[in-house]
Amino acid sequence: MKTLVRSIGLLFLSVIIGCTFESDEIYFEEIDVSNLSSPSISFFDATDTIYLRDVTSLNFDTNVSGDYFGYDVLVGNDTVNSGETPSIVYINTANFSDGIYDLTLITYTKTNSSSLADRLNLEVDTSSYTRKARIDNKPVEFNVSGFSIVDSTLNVSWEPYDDFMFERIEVKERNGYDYETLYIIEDVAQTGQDIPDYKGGILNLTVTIYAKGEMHDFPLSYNYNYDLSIEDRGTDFLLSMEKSPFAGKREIEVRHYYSFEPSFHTSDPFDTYLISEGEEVALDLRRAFPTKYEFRLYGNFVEEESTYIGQQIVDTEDNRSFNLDFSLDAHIGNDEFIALENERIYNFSLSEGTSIQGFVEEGAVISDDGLHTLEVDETSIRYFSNDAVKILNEYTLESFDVEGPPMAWSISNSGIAYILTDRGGNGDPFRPVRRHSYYLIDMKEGTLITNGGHSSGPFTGGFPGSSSIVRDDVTAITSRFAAEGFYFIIKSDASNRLFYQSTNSRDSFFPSSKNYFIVFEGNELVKYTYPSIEFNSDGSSTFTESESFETTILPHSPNDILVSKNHYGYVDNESIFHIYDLDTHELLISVEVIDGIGFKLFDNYLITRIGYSFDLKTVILEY
Amino acid sequence: MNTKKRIILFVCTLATTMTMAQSVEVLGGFFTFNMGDLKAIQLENQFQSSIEVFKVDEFPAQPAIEIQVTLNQSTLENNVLNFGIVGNSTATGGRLSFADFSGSYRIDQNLSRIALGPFVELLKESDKVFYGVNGGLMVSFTNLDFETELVIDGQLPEFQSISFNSTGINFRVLGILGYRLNSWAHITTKAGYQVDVYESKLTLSGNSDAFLLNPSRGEAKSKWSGIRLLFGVGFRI
Repeated sequence: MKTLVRSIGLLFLSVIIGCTFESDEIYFEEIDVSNLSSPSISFFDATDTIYLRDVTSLNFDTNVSGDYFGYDVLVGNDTVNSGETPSIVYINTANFSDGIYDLTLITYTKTNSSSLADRLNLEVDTSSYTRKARIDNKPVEFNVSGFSIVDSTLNVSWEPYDDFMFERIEVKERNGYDYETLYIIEDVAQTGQDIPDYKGGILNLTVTIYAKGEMHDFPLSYNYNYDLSIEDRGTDFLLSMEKSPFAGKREIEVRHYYSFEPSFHTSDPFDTYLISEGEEVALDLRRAFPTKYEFRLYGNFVEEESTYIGQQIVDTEDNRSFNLDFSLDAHIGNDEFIALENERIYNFSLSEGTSIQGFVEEGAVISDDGLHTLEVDETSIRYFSNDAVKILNEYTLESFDVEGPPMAWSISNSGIAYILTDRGGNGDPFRPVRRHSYYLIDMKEGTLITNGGHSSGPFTGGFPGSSSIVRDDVTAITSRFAAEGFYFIIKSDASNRLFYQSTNSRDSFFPSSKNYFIVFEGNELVKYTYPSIEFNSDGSSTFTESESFETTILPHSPNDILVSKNHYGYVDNESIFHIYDLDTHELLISVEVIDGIGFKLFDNYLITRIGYSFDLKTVILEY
Repeated sequence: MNTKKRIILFVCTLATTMTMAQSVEVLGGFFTFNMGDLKAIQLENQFQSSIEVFKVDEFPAQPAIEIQVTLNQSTLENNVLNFGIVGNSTATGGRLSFADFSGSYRIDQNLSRIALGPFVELLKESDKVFYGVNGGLMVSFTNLDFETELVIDGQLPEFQSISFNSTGINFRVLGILGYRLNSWAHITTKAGYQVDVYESKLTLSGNSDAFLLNPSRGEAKSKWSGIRLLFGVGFRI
């Protein structure tokens, strides 16, 4: 019994030793997870195939921020990109061959279920999104065919683009380094573009294709020139221009300039004509004085019969104007004169009663009839035939101690050339005297009629030059007038023309017509009549008849008194040329001398001229 | 002395006394506890926890097992005076918990205690009924296990445990009421109160220099004082 009790006691001891507290209680919370949702990725809402090329960036546009544990991007079964938040993902397609793949995005996001695991960021929602993707690493193939004219409209065309990832085609006009986008083509089926604004001239285009994330330029140019034909029909010129292939109708403005310069953009045109394309215009280009026609037209340049034709083309249908700027050189002649293109050779055809005067600079060339040329420079005078280009006669001036180029020249209608050269001053500061040499040359024969020298100054003096007569029909006459210094008169019996030279003026006239010449004497204009002039053998002369007339003589430039058959005039200090009627002495008109210090008064024309370069810039008055 | 060694000493002592026993009582009972510091620690853990947890156990009253071995029985003025060794074991604990479909999290304070000491019992017998008073002074050994466990579906569980030990001296007084079944067996009920005479600080197992602090940053102590209710049977050896 005692043993039993002891055993029971030991058994309880073992129970006591094992007495521990183990709680079975837990706090359990029901979590509603029925409203949980996976993040939406709008990129994968689309069902169309996307294109991947080279290294492509994709914008997955995720709407859940801050809750991403990470993501994986797979192309096929290969993970190509991993990270934290899948916003902009770069995919390198270099290790994939061209073809269609499954583009898969796997996202690992916080569930936001508020469960225990979620609060410890141990609860992950795994979502998978898939879309088809085409990998295409082929180059962009695109060919521009070129230009054509379709339905009177310029068209640029290209071969259809039949590859993937087409975005757009742009047609741009380039001007130097500037570009202007004309057209944007977003329809891949469109294989050309009309350019209805094009009517002619140079057009530089660049066709640019945007495809596969790349841009490729194709520059090309087109040029349509308007051909102007000029037919010299003797009495006039027929200008015509063929109809262009482009829609609409254009007119060309023809501008007529007076100039011997090949370029005279600053000049005002004398005449303008409008020529419509496809039509003809006859132009009467004859004038009684030297001139040159220039026509401006864009694009053409004809060597022989080139012309300049007006700068502006007006589209009469659309009433728009645009400038075409091509130029042609031309020389045009008529019966009365010949316009020259060579600024050093001028062929003048002189009408009766006119003469040409000018200031001669070095290398001046004079010709009177188009058959012969008289060339004068500092040291010699050369006379040669235009056809043979052969110097017929040459006169050196060295023996006359010439200093400086010829300063004046004159050619009569009879072919007598008068040249005056400057020999310089005498060096006396108190009584300065200018010395001159003169030459009379027969242009027909090419012979020197006479030559001599004289001095001019404020005092009258003798005429020291000789007055030898070379030809019987030419009489050299000298005389002097006390108040105006020295001058001499050369009479040609053949032409009955008188030349005179004084310190103040020089001119010539036909004494057989009006028999007079006019000079300044102080503040008076004095008209001396011829043949009241008696020429003595000793060189002196006497004018038996003269007519003085009162007129208001303004302070004048002493060298600019001109006389023509019906008029005379002079230039005052304000560069105003006053023109009087030769018989009534009535002041007819006062004209501003433009850019000129010399000008010519014809029978019924007044021409101002620019000295020293033989440019004739004309201000024409008809009265 | 660690818990294992204490248990071995407890068992050896009881086993030794069993050889000299005149009678043995085996009782089961229900003990209440104070545990003020440990309750405060539990409350502090609840507020400081990064996971929202709820209190599901707060050192509830727990069953206990007791063995009383009478070594000497004598008579005093018609009363029976018993003297012997008594030992008991009890456990309690506190738990903070949260669980949902995804997993669970708990913070436990599991306490276990064994006590051993002499008792004196004075009984008055009347026919088959006897009644009296029992007083005992026991040395107790307490073990406290702090455990945290996080279990998440699909993850490896995370478990941490740290143990503290302490000793104490307790005094208790019980009222006795019993019934003799026959000459060698009786049933008895006892009720009384136990007070902690002394309770040491809870030191870290393996490092007696470290001890548990209460929220007031003083020494945390287990307090086992409380009501004692026992019912059992006795056998005369």
